[in-house]
Amino acid sequence: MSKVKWKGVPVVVSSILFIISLLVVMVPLLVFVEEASSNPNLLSVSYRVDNESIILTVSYSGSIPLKDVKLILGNYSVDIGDLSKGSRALFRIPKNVSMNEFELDFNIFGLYPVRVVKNG
Amino acid sequence: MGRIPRPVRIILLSVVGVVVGVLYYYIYGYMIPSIFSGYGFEVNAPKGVSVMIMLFILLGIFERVLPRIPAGAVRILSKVVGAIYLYYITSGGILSGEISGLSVTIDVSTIIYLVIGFSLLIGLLDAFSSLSPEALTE
Repeated sequence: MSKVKWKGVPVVVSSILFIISLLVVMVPLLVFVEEASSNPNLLSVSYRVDNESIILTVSYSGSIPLKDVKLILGNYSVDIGDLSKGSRALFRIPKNVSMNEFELDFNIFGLYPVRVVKNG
Repeated sequence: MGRIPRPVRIILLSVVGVVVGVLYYYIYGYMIPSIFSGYGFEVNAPKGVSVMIMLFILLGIFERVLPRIPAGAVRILSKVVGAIYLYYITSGGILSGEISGLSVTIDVSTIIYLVIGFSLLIGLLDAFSSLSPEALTE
């Protein structure tokens, strides 16, 4: 009667767990990158100026939730919060804040911090 | 059925080691970094490419032709070398690039640590399984 050889089982189980973990972790990133590649306005920040202030409009149309979104304009920062598909938020900021340069920080699915910087 | 002579067996195992070593270099030194550079992110250009390929090939050969205990140690060492190399090329998972006139930095260290952690775990399990009493008495 042949003996069942168990010595390779931990390696096989670990390998399967590795592949599953990698897929679970990578899918949100890959989906976000694909969507961003095909739609440059996936996460858009636009503004208009009225008599008293600048009105920022932040909108997001991607499938993967973004966490801790923050917009930094010089010395002024706007905590936008979490964004999901279809999110749209308006913020009023002082009129003297420069819009030429900005830094946009967010976290893809809570796993991948991203920083986008536009220098004037 | 006749057994394969030991010198021939060593040569065949060495050939397998060369192929596996080249494959390891391709995965750790080219394929994974290419995924990121393909999206416009800079990855560190590996210095001493020929040295790294030779190192992976040597580890691949030793892993297969050495007796079990040192082979197990080499098996773990090859995973450690691959992990360190991957960590260096991807700058610890912090990738930067210029995309559409914007400077973009993304932290993918989660993926890098996952690959490193599981590579080491599987390497350890593989090495210890080859050191089981059953394997040592074969």
